[in-house]
Amino acid sequence: MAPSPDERLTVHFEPASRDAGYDLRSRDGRFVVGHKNSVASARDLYAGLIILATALGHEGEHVRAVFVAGRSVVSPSRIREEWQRITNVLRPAVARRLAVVILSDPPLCLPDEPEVRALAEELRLLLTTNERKHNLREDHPAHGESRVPTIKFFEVWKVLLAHWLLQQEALRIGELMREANCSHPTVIRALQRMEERREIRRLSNRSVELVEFPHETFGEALALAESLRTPIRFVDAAGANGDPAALLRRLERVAEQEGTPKMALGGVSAARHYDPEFDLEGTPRIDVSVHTFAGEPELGFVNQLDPDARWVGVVGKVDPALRRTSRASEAILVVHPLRRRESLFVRRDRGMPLADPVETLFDLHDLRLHDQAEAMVRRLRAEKRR
Amino acid sequence: MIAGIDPESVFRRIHQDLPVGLHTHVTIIGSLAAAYHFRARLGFRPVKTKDADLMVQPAGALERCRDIAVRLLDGGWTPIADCIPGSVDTPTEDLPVVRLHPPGSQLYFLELTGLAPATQQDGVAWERFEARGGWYALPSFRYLRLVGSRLERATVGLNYASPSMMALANALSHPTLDGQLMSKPVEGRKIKRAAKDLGRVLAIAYLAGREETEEWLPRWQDGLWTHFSDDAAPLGRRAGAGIRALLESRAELADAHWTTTNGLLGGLGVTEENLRAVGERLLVDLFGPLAQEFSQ
Repeated sequence: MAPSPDERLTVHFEPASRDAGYDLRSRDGRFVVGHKNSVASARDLYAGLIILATALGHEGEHVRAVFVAGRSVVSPSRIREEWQRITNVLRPAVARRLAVVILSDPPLCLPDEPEVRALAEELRLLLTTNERKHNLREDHPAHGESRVPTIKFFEVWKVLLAHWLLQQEALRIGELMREANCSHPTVIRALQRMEERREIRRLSNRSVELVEFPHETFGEALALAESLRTPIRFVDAAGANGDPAALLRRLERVAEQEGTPKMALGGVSAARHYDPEFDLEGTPRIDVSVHTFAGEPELGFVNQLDPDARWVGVVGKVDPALRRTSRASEAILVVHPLRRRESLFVRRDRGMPLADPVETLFDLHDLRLHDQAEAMVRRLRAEKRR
Repeated sequence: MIAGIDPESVFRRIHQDLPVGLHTHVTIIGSLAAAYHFRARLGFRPVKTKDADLMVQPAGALERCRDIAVRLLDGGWTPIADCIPGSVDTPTEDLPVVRLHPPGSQLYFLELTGLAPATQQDGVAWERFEARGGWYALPSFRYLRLVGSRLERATVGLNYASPSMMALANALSHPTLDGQLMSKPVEGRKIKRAAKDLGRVLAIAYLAGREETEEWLPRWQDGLWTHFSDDAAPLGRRAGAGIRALLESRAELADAHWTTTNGLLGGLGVTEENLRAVGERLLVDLFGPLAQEFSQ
């Protein structure tokens, strides 16, 4: 039997360590690869190349670093211009070891050299197949790909679900566009998809609402939750005495001191608010949603370019012993960036705001508290009927 | 390899062997005191340590030290191999510290330390005394005065040093990583005294956990004012310097990790990264605020 794309990827490349500054390393040691699904702006290209250039400082002279993206909304000519500008400011010894590959058809290779073209062909086969299987696209699908959900679709859907769970009125299309930060065509496409599944109803005043809990789409979203939410997990590096309840107290204290309205509690803490009969002893971890609509790091939470993750912002103030981890099971704190226009946070008279119930449900399922999540939905809807 | 000792049974043994009248004049300090305090968190298992440090008070109580040494020697305690008493002519710096094995056992040894007087400025001062025909030296460590604050009481009735004050005393003892090596290698490795003592600060903080260490700040302030009134402010400002230096030195932190995992933290799976994180917490939670308090 022919090897699967996953197997072929494993044969030719190995995943890099968290702090390496790149994602894959070719097993022959000639290439390190930084991979991004999509280049959304010139800034993506800058950031990717600078991180790779830094990583090259720790590599032998023979190693090349390649920035690979599945697609780009930035035009090829603009990418060529930016490539020229970036490599002009880098030391020649570093610049000549960098390359950019956009896996379009045909691939865009910079510099256009046989070695880079050969690598592009190999990666196009391996990464695009894997991407289709595992990842989401950020915006509207190309023709013929309408079965693949997009991040924007889920943003629209999550806004509708949050309103439904919070007993709020049906949303007009304009409100939906604003809250989800999506264009009119994107919202219309998303609603069409939900209509096909009979998950929404349109009302006479051009507003829409969910008919009932959208189990099918929710299951789909859960399966894609990692790509959809891009959680940032932290472990207590001081070891044995990790105490989520104590961490929560400190987080609330720091939030009060700092005044951080863009930060809300999710997970078990929020669930206990939404469901007063929430059935769980203790708090296994702390979930926090951070509103990062502008696309910029907020509050010092996200500092992706700091490989040591010595967090100097809110996280560092809450506990300087927190370190990023990729292992979900050991996380004591999980930060979820929220990238839509409206945070939908639920304000309280005292204490930090709460993440909306949809984010909270995702947190509970991530914690494998499936029964409690279902009970929370039932409780919220029962409240509505009363 | 260092054998493990059960801190509770060592406390009972010391209580039994010391004259009742002397019980109130001794305080158990060092790793044994910490192991006893955290015995529940350590799972009531034996701890890798070799010495039971006994601090005798009040300051300058040479007669009491002599009483204790005589009583123990008469009770069958024997000097450890390299504790060879000197004569009246032996210079003080060449005299041994009293280090005695309990009768019939070499699992651990007891070591006598004096309480430093308030006037002592040197980190350590030495006095000499005679017991059963041999001469010994009694060291007094300046910063161990702090353990006089907030003494803890063991169930057998002996006093022992609180972990919080031992941590501060150890931190103050080493504002830099300079200084001498330990007299003996630790499990075959030559270690600086500073790395060992500062490592103990981290070990104690690790065992205490953050909830407990956060309560240390007012105790530290009180202790500094009580015992070093004139020097309290400069000491408070520089208290974290040694820990900061330790975290900046990969080699010394590795040594500190080595001593703690071959001692108090043995068998707990504590990593160097764990200790680093604990140290960073201490700087933010305690040493930084302490320096600020004494800067105002």
